[in-house]
Amino acid sequence: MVKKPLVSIVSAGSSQFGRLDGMYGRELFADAAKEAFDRCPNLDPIKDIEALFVGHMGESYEHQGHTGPTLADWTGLLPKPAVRLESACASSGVALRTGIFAILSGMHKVVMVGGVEKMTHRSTADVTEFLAMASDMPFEQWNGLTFPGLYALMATAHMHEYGTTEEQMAQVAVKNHHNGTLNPKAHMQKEITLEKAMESKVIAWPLKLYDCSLITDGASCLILTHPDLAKKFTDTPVHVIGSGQASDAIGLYEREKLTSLKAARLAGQEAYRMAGVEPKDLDVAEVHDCFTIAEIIAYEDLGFCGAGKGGNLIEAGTTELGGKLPVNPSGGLKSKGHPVGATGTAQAYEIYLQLTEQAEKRQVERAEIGLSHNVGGSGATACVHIYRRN
Amino acid sequence: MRTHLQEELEMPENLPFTVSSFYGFISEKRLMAAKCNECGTVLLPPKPMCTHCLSTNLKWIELDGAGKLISYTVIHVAPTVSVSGTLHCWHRRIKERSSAARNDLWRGPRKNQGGNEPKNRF
Repeated sequence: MVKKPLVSIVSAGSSQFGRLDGMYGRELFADAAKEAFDRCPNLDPIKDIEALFVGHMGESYEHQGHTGPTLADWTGLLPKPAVRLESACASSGVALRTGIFAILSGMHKVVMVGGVEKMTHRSTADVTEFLAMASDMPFEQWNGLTFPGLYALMATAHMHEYGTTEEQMAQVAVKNHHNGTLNPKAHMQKEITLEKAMESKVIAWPLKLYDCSLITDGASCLILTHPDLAKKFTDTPVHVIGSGQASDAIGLYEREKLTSLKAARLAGQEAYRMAGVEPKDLDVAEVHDCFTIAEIIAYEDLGFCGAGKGGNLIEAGTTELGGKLPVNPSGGLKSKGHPVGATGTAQAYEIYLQLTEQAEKRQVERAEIGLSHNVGGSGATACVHIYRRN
Repeated sequence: MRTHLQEELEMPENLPFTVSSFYGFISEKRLMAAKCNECGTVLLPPKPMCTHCLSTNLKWIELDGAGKLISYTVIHVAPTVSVSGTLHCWHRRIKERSSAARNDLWRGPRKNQGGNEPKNRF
């Protein structure tokens, strides 16, 4: 039985991702919004868009908080209500979910959701520290733990429990770098070899430079409406048919285990149930590969394979473009880049392009059902959405 | 002259169930957790309220520090204010004296080997 969608995406936009010197985050967000406005000629943004929900992780990067109205101003949406949502790297996944609530409540008919982060003008050490604020202060940050360190603990545990190898992790990087070469908006559009990934500098053992996602500037957005109104704006809407979110302890030391993100499993189960689909029904997915081990764990948490089999799945080529279930055709956080606040809606943007056959060289043939998986921090927040083409 | 009540309040075991108290004990080389008198849940780190049954009827218990190493890493790129190259050990306590199944496992950050000794900064 085909279930009624929650909301419909009638347009989407993204700025270039990369090192964008001389730009403020608000200007990147204006670029993303302009693309979304231009893509949807039947939409009168100033008249039709009734509210703005934006994901933005940190004030530290630009010394700028109060992002909601700032972005409303730079996109011509004043005086519409505008709210910033912060859930670390899941900030805009959560903004999308909040936009869904706004439509489903009946309070608003059309809303814009999105996210932004401007990061590259800060030193790597500073960015590492700002990102670490999304981990536990008194017990993790105090002891010198960084995000690479946290995911390294997960990787070590996964290697020990399941025999996952450093080569399998490196294969995730090779795949996503290849996909990034097909995405003109990706930060790093260059192929890498397995050898290059394996020989790269150690960041937090066993994670090396090419196991880590990029520090990137970027913004992304979506325009949502009620499914009954979607046809007024476009003939090719993409429907959001499932939405799940869950929370877990902020510190790894209180998690059930280190080899799986419970919040992601629960969010996935909720989204699948709501959408009435199973993992085998998916045609394409964008998952939160902040580190290569995170993509392997995502395969398992989302039911693409059994627990501990993620390493085999990447090895078998199942998740490559042309495989049975392409994962991260955009290049993922690994090569498209990870402007943290923008990532959740950037994943949705890629799924929107895939399901409307606008993904050009990286188009997954006949993609009908897609999924996005957005994780905050080391897994204290996870947000999963499922989409269907019209 | 100090009253009996004042002395009671200054007993370490009467400290509030906070991160500050926890690190105060750590500075005395004592690994202390909060234990719920209602349901037996052990909270490490301590929290002001039992997150299993929501009771505030808690007591301090001292743990012997025995555990099982479940993961480790060596961090080569440190953030600006932290130490570099610190070894992190996560350990899991396998035997806790409570009978409740939920309580026979907890994890806590084991103190790292030298340097970056936590100070009571709150």
